[in-house]
Amino acid sequence: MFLYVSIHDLFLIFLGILFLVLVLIGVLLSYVLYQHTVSRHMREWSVMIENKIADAIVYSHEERSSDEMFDLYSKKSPFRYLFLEKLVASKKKFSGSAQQTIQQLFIDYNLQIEALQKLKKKKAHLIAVGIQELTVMEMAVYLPQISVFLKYPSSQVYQEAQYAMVVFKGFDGLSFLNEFSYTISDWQQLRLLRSLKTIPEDSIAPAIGWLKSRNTSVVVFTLRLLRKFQVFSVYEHVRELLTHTSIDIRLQAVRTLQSLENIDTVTHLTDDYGNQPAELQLQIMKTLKRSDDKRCCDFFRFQLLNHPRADVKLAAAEALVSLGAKDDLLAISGDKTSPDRLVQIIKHALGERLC
Amino acid sequence: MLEFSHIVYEIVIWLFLLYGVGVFLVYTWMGVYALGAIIRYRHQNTFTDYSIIATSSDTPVFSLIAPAYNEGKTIVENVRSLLSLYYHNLEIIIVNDGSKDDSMQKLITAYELERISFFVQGQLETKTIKGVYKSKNPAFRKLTVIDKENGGKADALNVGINISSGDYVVCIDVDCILEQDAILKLAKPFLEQTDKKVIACGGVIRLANSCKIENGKITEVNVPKSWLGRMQALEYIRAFVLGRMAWSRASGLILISGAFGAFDRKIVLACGGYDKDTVGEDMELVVRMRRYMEERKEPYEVVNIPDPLCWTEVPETKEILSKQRNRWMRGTMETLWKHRKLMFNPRYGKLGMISLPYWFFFEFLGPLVEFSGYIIFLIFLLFGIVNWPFFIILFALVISAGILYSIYAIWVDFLSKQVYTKRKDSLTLVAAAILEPIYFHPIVVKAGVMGFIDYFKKSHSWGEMTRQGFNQTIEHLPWKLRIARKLTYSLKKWGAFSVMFLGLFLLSIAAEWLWYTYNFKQFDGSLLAKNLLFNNLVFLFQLIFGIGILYMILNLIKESWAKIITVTLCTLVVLTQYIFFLYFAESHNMLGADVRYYSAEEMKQILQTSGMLSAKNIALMVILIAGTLLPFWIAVKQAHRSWYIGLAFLCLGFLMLFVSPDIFPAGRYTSDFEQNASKSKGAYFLNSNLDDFINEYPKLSRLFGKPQHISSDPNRLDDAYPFWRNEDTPDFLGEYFNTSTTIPNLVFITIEGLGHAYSSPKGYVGNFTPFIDSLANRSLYWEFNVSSSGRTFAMLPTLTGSLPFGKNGFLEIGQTPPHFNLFNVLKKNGFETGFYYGGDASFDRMKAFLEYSEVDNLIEEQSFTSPYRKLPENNGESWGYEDQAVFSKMLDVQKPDNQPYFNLILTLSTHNPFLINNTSYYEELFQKRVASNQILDAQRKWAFENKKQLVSVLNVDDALKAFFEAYAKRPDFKNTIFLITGDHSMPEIPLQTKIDRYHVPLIIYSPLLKEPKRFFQLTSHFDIAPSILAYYRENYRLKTPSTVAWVGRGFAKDRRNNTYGIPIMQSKNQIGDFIFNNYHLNDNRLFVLKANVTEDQVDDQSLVNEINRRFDEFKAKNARFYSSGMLMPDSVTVNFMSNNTLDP
Repeated sequence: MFLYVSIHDLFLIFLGILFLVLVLIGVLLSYVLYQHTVSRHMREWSVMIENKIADAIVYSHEERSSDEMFDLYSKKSPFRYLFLEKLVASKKKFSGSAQQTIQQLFIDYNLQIEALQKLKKKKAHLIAVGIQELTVMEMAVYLPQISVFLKYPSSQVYQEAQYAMVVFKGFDGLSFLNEFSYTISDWQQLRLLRSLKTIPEDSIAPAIGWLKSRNTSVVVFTLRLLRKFQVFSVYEHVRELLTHTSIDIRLQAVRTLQSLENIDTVTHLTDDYGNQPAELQLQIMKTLKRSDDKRCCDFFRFQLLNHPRADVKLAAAEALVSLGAKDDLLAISGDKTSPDRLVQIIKHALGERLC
Repeated sequence: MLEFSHIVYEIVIWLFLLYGVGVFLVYTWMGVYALGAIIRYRHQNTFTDYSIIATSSDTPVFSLIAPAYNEGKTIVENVRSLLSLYYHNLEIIIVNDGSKDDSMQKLITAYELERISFFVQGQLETKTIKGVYKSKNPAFRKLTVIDKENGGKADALNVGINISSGDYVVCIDVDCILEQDAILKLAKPFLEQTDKKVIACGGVIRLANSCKIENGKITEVNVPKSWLGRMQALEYIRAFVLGRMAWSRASGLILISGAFGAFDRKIVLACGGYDKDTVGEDMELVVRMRRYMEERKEPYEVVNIPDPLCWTEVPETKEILSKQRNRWMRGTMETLWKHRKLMFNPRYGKLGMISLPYWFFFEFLGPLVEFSGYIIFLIFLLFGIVNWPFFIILFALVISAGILYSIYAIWVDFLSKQVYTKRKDSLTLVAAAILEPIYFHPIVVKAGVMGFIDYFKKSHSWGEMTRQGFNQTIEHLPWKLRIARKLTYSLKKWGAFSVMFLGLFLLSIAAEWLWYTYNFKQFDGSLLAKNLLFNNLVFLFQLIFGIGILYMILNLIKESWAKIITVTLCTLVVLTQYIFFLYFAESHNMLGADVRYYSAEEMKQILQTSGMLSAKNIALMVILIAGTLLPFWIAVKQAHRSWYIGLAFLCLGFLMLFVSPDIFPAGRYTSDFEQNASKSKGAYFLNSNLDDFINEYPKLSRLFGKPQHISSDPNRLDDAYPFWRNEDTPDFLGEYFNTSTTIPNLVFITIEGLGHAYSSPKGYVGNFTPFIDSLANRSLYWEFNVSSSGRTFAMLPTLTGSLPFGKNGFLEIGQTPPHFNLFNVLKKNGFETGFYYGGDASFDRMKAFLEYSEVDNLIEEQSFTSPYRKLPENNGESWGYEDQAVFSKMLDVQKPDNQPYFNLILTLSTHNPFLINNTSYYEELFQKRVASNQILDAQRKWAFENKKQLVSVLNVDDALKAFFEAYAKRPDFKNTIFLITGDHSMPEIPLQTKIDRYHVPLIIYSPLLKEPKRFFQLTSHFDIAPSILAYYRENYRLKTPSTVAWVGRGFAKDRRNNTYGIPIMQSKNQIGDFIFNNYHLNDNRLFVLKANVTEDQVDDQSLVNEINRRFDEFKAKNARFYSSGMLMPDSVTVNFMSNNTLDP
């Protein structure tokens, strides 16, 4: 007998496991049913909370009838957590005075206690949720408590803290970028950019500093920021980035230059065009197209006829169409010596209808 | 010894159990790991605001590609649903894959499409694009419709990828319904990537069956109404919520469903897009993308998110479901085969070391293992060897564990607030989980197995194969070219087949090695492995050459014949290899041509009594046949890319024809048995049969064999009868006996398998016959006596007639040649004769011999009735009656008054499988004996290793003691001469030297003896009959023949004076040993027999040649005898028997 285990021993082992499995099935089934009961209660509470929020938004404080049942439940911890969750979700959906009403409900029921309690937890997701709740409810008074999480090891936590800083402090909230060494994901960059409504006049100095950051994601974010708020004064600093080692930064720099465009931008880009890889060249073509500058026609024509890559040719042809050089293109496509590929590209750019 | 099939049976059971444990552990891990992944995802997305990307223009462009084929009924609605997806930078590409319905027209009308000029930038090779359409209506500016020639889903997706301009492509089935925020949720992992590049992302797919759908949106979620649908809903929960999430968290995901998945477009293009040659294009693409990233050593991720993003209709009929699962199985096989290089390749990280092996062992092999389990169960059931309590508990455990896993999935699904949140839905799914094993699961397994078969049927190649249409394509060629092409084709196929042949044969060799090392601890494992491998490889390559040539010739005539014959032959070779080594392990004999000389009935009896024909063994043989035949049948359909491999196999095989296994240094073996174990049993069997065949035809024998020469002999009466001579045996025995007033009775007791090794204190195993030993001390005892064969078949002719063997033993000669033996000569002198045997006397054709000899009392199995006891049955078969019964029967039948008499008793209980009655008593005796000082320390090891055999020896010794005690009370005892010997040694007890196989005791006891005497001269069973008759002739004036054809010359005081030599026949087809003077010739090796009853090899070539010459002369005489079938002229025996006057 292998492994010195007899069939009888195996029989007993399997019998034991079978018993365990059957017990687990029983326990799991009971738990599923119990969870359904809990879920039903939660749904009832949800309805109660949603009604409460609706009442608060629709009716004034005086018009609202007292709800003893709600007040009774609002003392229970699970109910308060659900209430807090629903308030946060609702505040995101509404705007104007409704948001203020929701915020007032948060204050009235002292729900900041639950939010602050979460900040004291060890689990990252709970801390992150706590920060989110205080941020959504605009509890700027707790900023010192939140700011300590900027250097928290969990990305989920420090990202929420960064977001909170920007929401509460605006551009000044970005000061964490000065010494931030991790990659800022596109998702986080979009959140931060979205939460930033304005930037102050004196924002140039820190922005220039960030453009020189070793952290690529900080540079990319700064370029997006400068693009969003069109900070023309940093044009030259951005232009310098066209020689940056990172392709991503150069791509963002080209896009930002378009946003910060001045009279020399076309020249700068066409001059630099030859030094860039195809990916950048394509981006420059798209940027030049948007500049709508007729001085670029020859450049586009040259690229159309001579560039080896089809996508660049296509971008050139489309740019020529947008500059109104359709006749030129028709002439090229009508020329019997023009290669078929070129003709197809031109027809594509012209958006020729075939039937 | 373990019974024949025991270990193999256990290996089968354990393999299944281990596989089951593997499945159990993997699914437990998946369950736990997936739960963690889902909880983490939920925690990270508690308040995620997807509107950030819904409205931002600074987000990547997603190109949604939906291939459509004959979707005219729903396509307009489906596209409308897609157009309402939330995402800013989204382009929607519908690829009409050559639909035969009005899909295209409906789209043109509904979305105001117009055909435009379009330059396709992507470089993926696809079918021709008939047209690219865009809408005139700006509201549908996101929409692009492509009309193309039909090329399948992968081709359509590749067209979409070529056309697309997005950073990411989202590939979906057009009939899927997407959640409106599906792209938002799918985009988030791509936007969140930091250190690792997210190359693909999938979401959970749910069942739309029975759900309420309005305007292309799911408005009410319901569990499907049909059970088939419900079980698939459950299956999808397990697959997506548990399986994919666990693998995603472990960075091992290799499948993003074709129904909905997003991919990095640049990497897809760099990898070459979807593979059009596989039906599992979705999985294959992900594997290829991962492979691409691994080869570039770039960090990456393949992500699955637990949000239900896509709704699809699943089949609700068995037929469509089976087709789908069949396709999935083929897709899995194609992907695994295509990327086989990655399997267990550490260079590919988790992909190679974990993900692909998981898919291979559990997703691909799962249905096949389960199916083979059903087959094996049925076979066991058929043969009645199912251990029902064990089966029931195991079956219940498997089913319960499956149900538990399903309920767990339902719970996780509910916990993560997925889809089915109603209590009723959960309970319905629990019911589906309980019913699934008996309804849904068998369908899926069957479809998987059919997919496996279809994979090979539908010529999805293993490497590059040439298959269909081959004959048609070469028919027009000139015949020379045609033959060349056919031969090349045959070589390609033979190359592939040889690899399988090599693999399966080597597997059997590995099994052989394991079997020996497991059963025979004394073997040197490494030496055995080396020699087994070498000897068998030589043999195997010879076969590859031989069968290969046959295959090539047959292939020229008809391919199907070549396939069938080759597969049959090679299956037989592999199967017989198992049979040969098991036979050897059991009997310690290599199976040779002797197998041909047992009748079907005899074979059946041998197999049944040894337990070989047990239901378990037959069941395992059926499994082994299936396990061998199937791979061969698959292999015979394959072909290698190059014909060089096939040619190399044939050339190597041809070279091996000239290689002798002797060129390899054999190493030092502790025993002859160990040495034989290292030989190729197949080669031995084949060579043995070839020799036998050649010997059967004298013309062939002359052509291939040595020239036969018989030297002149003055004693020979006629050259036509080479053994016929004048009888001149001197009376050796007379001087040791007191003369009786009446002619003494004669009783021969031949004990089956009684070897010297365990019946004498000098034997290397020790003395396990205390009574025989004590009797020997009161008898004439020849310590160095040899039998004439390694089996029982030669006992009767040799002991009673000193007769030559003929071709396959004297008994095998159809018409018994006229001759003299103790039975007929003594009967002629007034003796009552008898043969007493507990088994079937027809075995080995003994009965024919006894009937020729007109034996008076032929007592065999049928002659016994109650209360005589049979030997215990083994699988319903017993050799016959126990030795105690045979001895008692002789005493009962043989009346003391009928003197003189000659009886020969042949015992039985010491024959394989060594089953005796009252085992516990003799086992106790054995223990006492081993513990006593009668057995030396060196002998104890042997004793314990051969306990079963020795217990049976103690039994026969005890029976003999009782026989003598009973006999001593009879009046005829005092006037009886007893001769006790063994027919041969047990081959089951390992031999120390070659001679041990034939070394048996010879004892002559009688109350008439003057004194005991011990002889140290070599003697043989051939000497007994001449000496016995000489004794009676000289002392009691019995009439004995004046001319005889005996091989033996009687007992002698000095063997060196004996010049006739002792031939020994190991088995029915092989006269392989010859003893002359003190030398023993075996297989061209010469040994000197020493006084301590052992032998040492001698390297004296001249002596070898001389003894070989004498051996050849014996063989030539023997050959002349069996070609004529006559030992002496008929008249000699007729005259002797018809002469009524007995000369004084």
